[in-house]
Amino acid sequence: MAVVTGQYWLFAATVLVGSLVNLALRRRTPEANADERDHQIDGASALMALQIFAWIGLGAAFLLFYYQDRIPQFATIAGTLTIAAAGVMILYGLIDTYLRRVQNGRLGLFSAFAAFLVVALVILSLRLLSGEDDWICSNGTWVMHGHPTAEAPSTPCPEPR
Amino acid sequence: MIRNRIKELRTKLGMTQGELAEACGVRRETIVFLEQGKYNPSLQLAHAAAKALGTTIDDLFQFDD
Repeated sequence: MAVVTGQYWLFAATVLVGSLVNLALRRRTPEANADERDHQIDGASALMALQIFAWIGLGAAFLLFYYQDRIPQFATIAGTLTIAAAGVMILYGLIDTYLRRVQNGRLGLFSAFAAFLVVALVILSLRLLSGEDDWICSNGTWVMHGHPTAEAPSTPCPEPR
Repeated sequence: MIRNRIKELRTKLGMTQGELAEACGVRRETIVFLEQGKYNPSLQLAHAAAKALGTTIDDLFQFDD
């Protein structure tokens, strides 16, 4: 609901609070939450899920790009799918490399590179989600704010009463 | 294929699966799968199980070459 209504801060806060509560509750549980067998299965499951998501996402993106002439919004959705698929695969590769290097005690420059990448992604996300470049409804017409890449919304822009 | 005597030694000691799991630091389900021969443990888990059952890895696990 928070994402649908555009209240992204509420979404982020909910995810953060939920994660912290989950961590706190797991620490209080005496028996093992997950052991080596769980990690083995979880790892295989996660990799398979990522691969399936990447293939389906890219396949859907190609289809949407192909039909973008019929519905212009398809191009935006396809771009988002492509970035999401590439993003999770890159993230998987980074985490996999990090864990292997931690095991071998060879982090070196990798930590600095990973930290730089995370900061860059956060800044990029804030830039894209901030609504800086967007269309604003003003006096019954859609007005550009900045340089939005999308076309003007097709929904009506009501005049103020 | 790896066979084991986990269930045999566990019942001889009057230990439940839950107690053995807690001693080994794993979940009870893992002990269940171990006893059924459906899961091959890590060296660390094999050592923990052998220690909890008062025996050695060689005595606890048999490898079919």
